[in-house]
Amino acid sequence: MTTSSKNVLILRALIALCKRDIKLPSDLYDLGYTQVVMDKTIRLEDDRSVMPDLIISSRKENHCVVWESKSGRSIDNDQAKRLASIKARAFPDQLMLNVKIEDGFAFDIAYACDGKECQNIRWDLDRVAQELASVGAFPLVGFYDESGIKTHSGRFNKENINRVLGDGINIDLREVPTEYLRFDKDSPRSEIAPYVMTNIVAYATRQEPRFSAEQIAKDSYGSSWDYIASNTTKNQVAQKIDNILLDARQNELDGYLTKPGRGGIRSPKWNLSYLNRRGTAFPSRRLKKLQKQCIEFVNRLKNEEAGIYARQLRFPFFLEEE
Amino acid sequence: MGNLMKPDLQKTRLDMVYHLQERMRSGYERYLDEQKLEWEGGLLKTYLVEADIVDKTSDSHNQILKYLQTQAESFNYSPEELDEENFFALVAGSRLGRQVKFDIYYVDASDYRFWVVYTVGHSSRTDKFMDKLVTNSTKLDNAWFPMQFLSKLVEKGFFNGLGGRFNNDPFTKEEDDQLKISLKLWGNLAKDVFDAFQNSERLRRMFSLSSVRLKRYFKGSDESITDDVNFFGKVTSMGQSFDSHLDLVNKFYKDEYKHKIVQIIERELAIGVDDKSDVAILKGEPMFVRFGNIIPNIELFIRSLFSGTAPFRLWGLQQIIKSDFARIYAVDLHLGRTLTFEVFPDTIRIFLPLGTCGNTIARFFTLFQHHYDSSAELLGGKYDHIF
Repeated sequence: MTTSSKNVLILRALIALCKRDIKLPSDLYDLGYTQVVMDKTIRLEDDRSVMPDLIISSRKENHCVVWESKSGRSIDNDQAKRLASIKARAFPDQLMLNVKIEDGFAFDIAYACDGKECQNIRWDLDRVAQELASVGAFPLVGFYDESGIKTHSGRFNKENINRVLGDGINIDLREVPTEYLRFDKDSPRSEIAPYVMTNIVAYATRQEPRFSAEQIAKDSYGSSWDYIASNTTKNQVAQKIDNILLDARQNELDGYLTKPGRGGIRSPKWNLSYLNRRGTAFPSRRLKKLQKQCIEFVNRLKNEEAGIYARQLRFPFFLEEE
Repeated sequence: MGNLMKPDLQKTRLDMVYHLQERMRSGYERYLDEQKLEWEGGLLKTYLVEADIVDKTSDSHNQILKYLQTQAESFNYSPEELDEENFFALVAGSRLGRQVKFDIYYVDASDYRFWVVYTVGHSSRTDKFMDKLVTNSTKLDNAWFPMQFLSKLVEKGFFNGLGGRFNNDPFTKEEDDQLKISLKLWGNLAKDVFDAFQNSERLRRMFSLSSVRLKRYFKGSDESITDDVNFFGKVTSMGQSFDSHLDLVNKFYKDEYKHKIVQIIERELAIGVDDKSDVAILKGEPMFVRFGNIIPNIELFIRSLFSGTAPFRLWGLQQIIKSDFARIYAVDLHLGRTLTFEVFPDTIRIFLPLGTCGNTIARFFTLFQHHYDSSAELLGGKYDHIF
């Protein structure tokens, strides 16, 4: 698994635990952590700003947790210092969260890390704490493939969440839903491709077979697309999807996917052949064949990525950095 | 349809009501005289159709009319604009020997998403017409009533008949493993039969209600009206009161069914970021189809379910994560929309993206009951029983 996949997985797991899911532990949901905010820039008092990865909030506990997800072995020092500058009023005033500031409200800045990297992250936080003491108090929660989620070090400001994460939440991370956070700009292509493939089949079914990479990026990413703060990030995602389409067209989807138009990611240059002259519905035999070829395409991407990752592991100099 | 003379159309809803009321009355008298289930031009059939056509509410009439016009040639009907807003007629001709018989379908789209289509044509023609119109459109769908919805419906009157069916054809090719039942019965012992089926461990899982017959008496009178409510959104009325029929349809379709589809599934449970806020608050909850008929082989099961063929018409790319868990990135080929399924041996977890029609869930769940486990339950968020 790449560092980006792990980062996304950590965030998905945190969100999933805030939902009523009969297939996952309900500890955080039961404590009332049901409000989830993503991709929101918080303005700080000194006119700077910070965008945490995720914020969860419980009205019942009158508590919020600002999460920074880390799959690598180091932290961004400046980000840590900015996170430490968040003030309580930001939660109701900027994030519109349903908490009562005057009634025993508390919040935490917490780091959510790949279980293998917890100690490295702790050392980094402690180093930054020499400049800004409050950073040293950030709780650190480890995500372990086999055993689930558990506090590595530090304490939360509310006892219930402290107990739940201190005892550990037993969760098989493979069963964590992908839907809450489908991918990010750094996700491997094999994790983006299934969304791209299903969206082009959906377009063709609706008799809208011509599309741009940007449109498919928006539909694949999901409804939080409009909240991605930077246009650069949006362009990066769309460009990656354009490359996925190019690869598919040259290989497994040759004959299905065509590129009659020219132009950049905003130009509707892509086309999925109808496979049916009447253009009303796919004949089932062709659909099955398309299904097989899409699966082969995604599997090839996975194998290629696995090869790259294995080579990186043999040559530690090329380990992915966040 | 050439230059053949078309039948007179009722131009307003009120005129349509008088007309249909009259047809119901004469039809009912013949029904009592001849005890024939149906004859030419007999009983009132109401088809409940969910439509995803209007994207600008203020222009709903024109958008619906335009849609009906674009489909006219493919489905061989003539669309007529009537005198009231969101009220149309489709006139469809079919050849009966040397004659051409016209059926009129009044489309009341006063609720532009939840249409009610009335006709008194013979069901051998009208069922085919409506099925073609809806099945071949990515903009229209039937209303789908799961087992629990139909069985609760009978509390609104006397349970006076039922239809049931089950077949596991989509999941097994081996003739020895195929399980099938199809039946229809009438009479005031219907509830006893239904209860007996529910008490049988085997039939509870392999017998799904396909229709219920509901008899209701008018207050202070011994006159009654009987309605057959079918699982795919067709209601056949046997009685003399259009008002009473309309009252029933409004209650269970425009109030209860619409509430479940729009308020619960689309607004509360669909997953996504609420676009009304400038803060990206992630809304929604997963939905779960929970069942007792454990899936023995997940790989085979999803290969059947997501092949893109009828009845489910779901196409998908599967990831078998482990022997007891798989994820499917799917497309609902009926509407051309994507959604994600995650399959465990006893549960299917479904994520409906915000903006996708909630009817997809009702259709999947209803068909799942008809083909895999009729005792399956649908839950999500704070709702232990969505239906």
